[in-house]
Amino acid sequence: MQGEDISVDDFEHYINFRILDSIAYPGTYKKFMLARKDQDAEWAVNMSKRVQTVQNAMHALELKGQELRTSPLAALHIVWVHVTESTLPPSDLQLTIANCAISRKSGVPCVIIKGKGRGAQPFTVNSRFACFLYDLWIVHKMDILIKTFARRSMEETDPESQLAMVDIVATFQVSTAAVWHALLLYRFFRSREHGY
Amino acid sequence: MVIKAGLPQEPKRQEEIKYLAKAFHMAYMHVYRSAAWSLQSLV
Repeated sequence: MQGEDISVDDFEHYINFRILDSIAYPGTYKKFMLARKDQDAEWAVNMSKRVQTVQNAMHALELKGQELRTSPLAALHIVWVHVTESTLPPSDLQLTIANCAISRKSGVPCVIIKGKGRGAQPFTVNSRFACFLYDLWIVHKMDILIKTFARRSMEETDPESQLAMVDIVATFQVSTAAVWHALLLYRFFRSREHGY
Repeated sequence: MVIKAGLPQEPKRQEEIKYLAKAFHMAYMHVYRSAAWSLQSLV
């Protein structure tokens, strides 16, 4: 499975799975799905396959990141790890960069992420690279973003945590909070589309 | 019937999820392709 083989449809199934598996008792939906898969339910077999496809793609990306470690762009591996491990988006992230060849670039429209610590230096990247860092962060925070989306919805639809799984699925309606959060994400993504 | 399908069926929610799926896919492909072939061109 190569990373390029993944489709929008795969992500859609993955998001649906993560939403349903993160509400009520986490893991309940996964057990339900796997049980139905064992019974050869078509929807469960398909969803399981799609979820695995996304997880494989994430693993492929992780391997790409590791390849950087031994490449001429080894300094980028430091940035990669910083961004993927941080809960902050790249613009708010203080990077510790020492002797980074990338930072010698200048004279282009840029975003500056200042380094800190001994041997660190200002780290200057152009706007295309800033977009790359944002996308890297988004991909690695995908599960958290989905979980937040689901939690905000459930806080309104089931504040007492009384609903059974079948009711949760049936009553999983769009709430004000969910719409608000979706709009924030929508604007965030839209504002960055011009960077490609 | 809903749980048999395994997906929330509310139309507007599905629209939002479709958009998020597209956004995540776009971000993933950008990172994967850059990491695979053209990181040098980004810096």
